[in-house]
Amino acid sequence: MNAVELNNIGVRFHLRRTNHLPLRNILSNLTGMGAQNNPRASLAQEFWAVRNLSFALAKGESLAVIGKNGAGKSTLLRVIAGIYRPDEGEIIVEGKVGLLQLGVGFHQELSGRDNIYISGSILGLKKKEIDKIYDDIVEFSDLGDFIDMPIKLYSSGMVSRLGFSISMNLKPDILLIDEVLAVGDEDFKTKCREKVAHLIKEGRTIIMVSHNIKEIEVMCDRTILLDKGRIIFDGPSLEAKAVFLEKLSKRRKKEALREIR
Amino acid sequence: MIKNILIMLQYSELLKTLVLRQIKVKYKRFLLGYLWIWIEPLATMFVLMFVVGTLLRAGTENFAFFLLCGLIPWTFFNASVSASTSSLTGNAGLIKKVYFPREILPLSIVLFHYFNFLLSLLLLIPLSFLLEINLTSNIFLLPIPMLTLFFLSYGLALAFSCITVYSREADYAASYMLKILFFLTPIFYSIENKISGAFFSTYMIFNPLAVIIMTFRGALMGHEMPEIKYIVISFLISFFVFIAGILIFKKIENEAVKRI
Repeated sequence: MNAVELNNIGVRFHLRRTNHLPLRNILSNLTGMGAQNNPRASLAQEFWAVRNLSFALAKGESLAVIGKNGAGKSTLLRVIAGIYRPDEGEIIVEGKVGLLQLGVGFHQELSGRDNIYISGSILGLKKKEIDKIYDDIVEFSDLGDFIDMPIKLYSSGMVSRLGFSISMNLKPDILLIDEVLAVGDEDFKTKCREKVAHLIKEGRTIIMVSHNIKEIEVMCDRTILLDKGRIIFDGPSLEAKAVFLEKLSKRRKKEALREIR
Repeated sequence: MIKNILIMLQYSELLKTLVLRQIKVKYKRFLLGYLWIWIEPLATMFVLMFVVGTLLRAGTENFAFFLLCGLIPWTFFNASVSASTSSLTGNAGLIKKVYFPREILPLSIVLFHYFNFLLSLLLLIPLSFLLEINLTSNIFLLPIPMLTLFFLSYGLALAFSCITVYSREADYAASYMLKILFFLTPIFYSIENKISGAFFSTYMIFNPLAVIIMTFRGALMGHEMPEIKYIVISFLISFFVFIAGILIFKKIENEAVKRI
């Protein structure tokens, strides 16, 4: 059974020189009147962040998405998470999706405890459900007594740890990870990787975006390589590495090789 | 529509959390805490009592109570609409990170201010005894203007919140609109017996807020109620604004999310 299925997905952005339009353009956009004789409205350039994207992911599979900056990786994850509605194509998602994010909805003035409840409810949990995983979150985050202090007093590492602990303990059926396994100190990173590996073993579906090819090889069986919003490779992670390195510019290639070693 | 309501219900916990978060953040650290809810309208009331009552000698009977009956609904309307304009742009981080029904953001702001509004209304109970205002059975009509006011505010909040994503001008437009509306609405004056005929009815139809405030006064301090037709029209207009707000929001939501 498929956990995620994408058929010819396309997401379009309108690029403008300035992000904010005069009100009259909005009025003409809304009413459809006067658009022809409005020169600034036509300045908008269409840009497809991803297009004609199709793949299916079986339940329990772990997939990595790699590609250069601007290849459409984050857009793809946002489509799967339901944040962007695709302008083309259709998407079927079976099960609860969680986009692993650090510090979703955190508020500086409130304590770690309050923020766990806020973050949990933003991710769609009821209070009772958060009660159940509360202790696990605090334990995993290693925050100790800091949990009752406002998070503006936390170091940035502590904030990330708290955010990570929340996402990890939500246990969605499909976990989306967007380049966040690089937070905290080495100990915590190892702990996170172990946790992800554990989730994979539990049979959860994982989609992760990463630049760390080594990490991908270890954690994911399958890799998709994106370039300019299209899939140029879809197959075993080991083969993806070779294709990806070939695609990289020489300078990046050197850096990437250094990373691998 | 029904599907939307179901999704909203699913996220009721989030709505609750967002409203509570604002209450906590706003009042937790303040020395005077929740008293601020009462200080705000009271302070404005004293200023207006001085300017209008003493300097302009244009006060009415029970002027303090009269002012509060106008200021409390106005404060809610003003605060919820102006705070909502930035409810999407100010939560860009959240919107880009996780899916939830985005109408919850302006709704949580409107509800937070509605909570403040209800607390401020409580202030009127001891005051009505203190100032010897006779409450009549009209007080049972209070839910009508309260509901009308909610629809009007939430409709405008929805529209402005997503239009602001496209253009910061909407933010300015909203704040000017509110400033002008403050003077055009009988908050610190009354319009009964001052204008009449066609002008009066046009005014009553085009300013639902005026009808709302006059109905508040009718319910709370025994003023004559506006004619029933005006009350019905103001409700219908407010409800129309509410529906229009939802439609505008739904129409541009997806593009707005990409643009934030």
